[in-house]
Amino acid sequence: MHQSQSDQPTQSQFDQLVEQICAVTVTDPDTPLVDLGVDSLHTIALVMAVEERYGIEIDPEVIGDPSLTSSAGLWRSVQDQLSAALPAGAGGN
Amino acid sequence: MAMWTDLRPTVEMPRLFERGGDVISFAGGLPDLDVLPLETISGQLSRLVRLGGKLALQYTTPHVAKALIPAINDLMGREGSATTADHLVPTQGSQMGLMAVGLGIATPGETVLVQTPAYPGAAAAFRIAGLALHPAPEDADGLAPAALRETVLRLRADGRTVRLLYCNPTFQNPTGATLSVARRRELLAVARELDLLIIEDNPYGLLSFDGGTTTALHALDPERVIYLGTFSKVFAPGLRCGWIAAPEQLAPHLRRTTEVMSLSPSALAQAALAAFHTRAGWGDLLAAYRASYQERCALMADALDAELGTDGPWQWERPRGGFYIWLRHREGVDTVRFAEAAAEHGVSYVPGSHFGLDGEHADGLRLCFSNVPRKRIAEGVSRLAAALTAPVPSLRGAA
Repeated sequence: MHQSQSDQPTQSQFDQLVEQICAVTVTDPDTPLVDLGVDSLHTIALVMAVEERYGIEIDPEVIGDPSLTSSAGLWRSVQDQLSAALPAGAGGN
Repeated sequence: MAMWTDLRPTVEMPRLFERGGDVISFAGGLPDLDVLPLETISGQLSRLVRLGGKLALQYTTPHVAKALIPAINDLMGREGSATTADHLVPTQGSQMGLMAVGLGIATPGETVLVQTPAYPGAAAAFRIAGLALHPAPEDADGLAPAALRETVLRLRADGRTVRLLYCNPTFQNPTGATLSVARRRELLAVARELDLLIIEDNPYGLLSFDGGTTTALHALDPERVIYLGTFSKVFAPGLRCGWIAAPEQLAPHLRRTTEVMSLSPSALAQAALAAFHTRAGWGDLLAAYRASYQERCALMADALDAELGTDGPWQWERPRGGFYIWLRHREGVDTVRFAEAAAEHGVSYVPGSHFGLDGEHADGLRLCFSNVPRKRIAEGVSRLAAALTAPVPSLRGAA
């Protein structure tokens, strides 16, 4: 189940999801989550919730890279996965 | 030669969980895992291992993972409590919490006051930690604060160190009783006056049949209470995951002790529980457990009413939550005497002396309804009644 373009959440809505699950305040979406005090187990819990919500699979390597585990970095991963899945007949990678 | 770790009475915990043949077991306190959403959990565990297996399957430090704290506070908040990382210590369930308190907070030889009849695993843990046990005084309303003061002062006058009181105040194992909030406040006032710490063991507090809760002791005075929490009864015991919420200055002692006991908590279990809570919260699962136990308890209590009546030698009260119904013999007969007849009839229970510190409470017996198949409950009670209403047999080996 994929959302239409008009239903696509924005970065700020994604920030809210991060804030809700990780109990932090996202002041700058590019700040690595670890610098916001989110530990790695919590990051895993966040990515699990994100995968379930958007029906996607995120590359596990993303979790080990602080530059990719900012709110903006994760949101890019979500969008990449969603756009890869959009064309008819195209699967995820 | 007896070892100092020999326990009297023996704990015999593994036997509680044995099942087999045609025996209907009212003995071991197992949760009803039929209510678990296994497909959801399976999907989440798979996702967790794929995304975070290298972390979740690694050793970790003796701390409750930050990701799990909202799940803990969601549970504790329902009974008015809250906690933070500085106060939390991870356990593999409250049995480990009891050992950690006995070894990490108490000093060998000191006396711990114990609410009785008591969960036998608590008494065993404190004994193995080298503590002396003394029953906490009770009256018809449960733990009796004024008498407690007298008992503590008398024991101290006798030269004994008394700093700890153990209790299971909500849907107590084995009686099902709940201490009133007024009593809790009085108890804490005495604890402050006499500088006692209360060990609050609370596995059943959220398992009332009507969804109601009772304010936890920890909520009323978190600096006087070492709270033992567990996911075993609100999620499942197989993950072996629980927590201690302790006064901040005690938490490091408890963490060091748990580290010696097990080196590391299970990051996998902590992450799995955090993920489950993030997705679903606790509400639906708690409601499903409550409904299951309410139904089973009603089936057992109705069958007891029908089989044993209310004017015979056996008396009991319908519990309002938890796992157990506690029967007592009005004339004080030791219920061990009926155990053999019960086994012959194909039913098992736990004799009351198991819950005493020194053989007391022998006139009681504990029936657990939480894991018996619904359609077997009436048959089990019928078998039990046949054993309990037969002429009182003499104790084996007695003259």
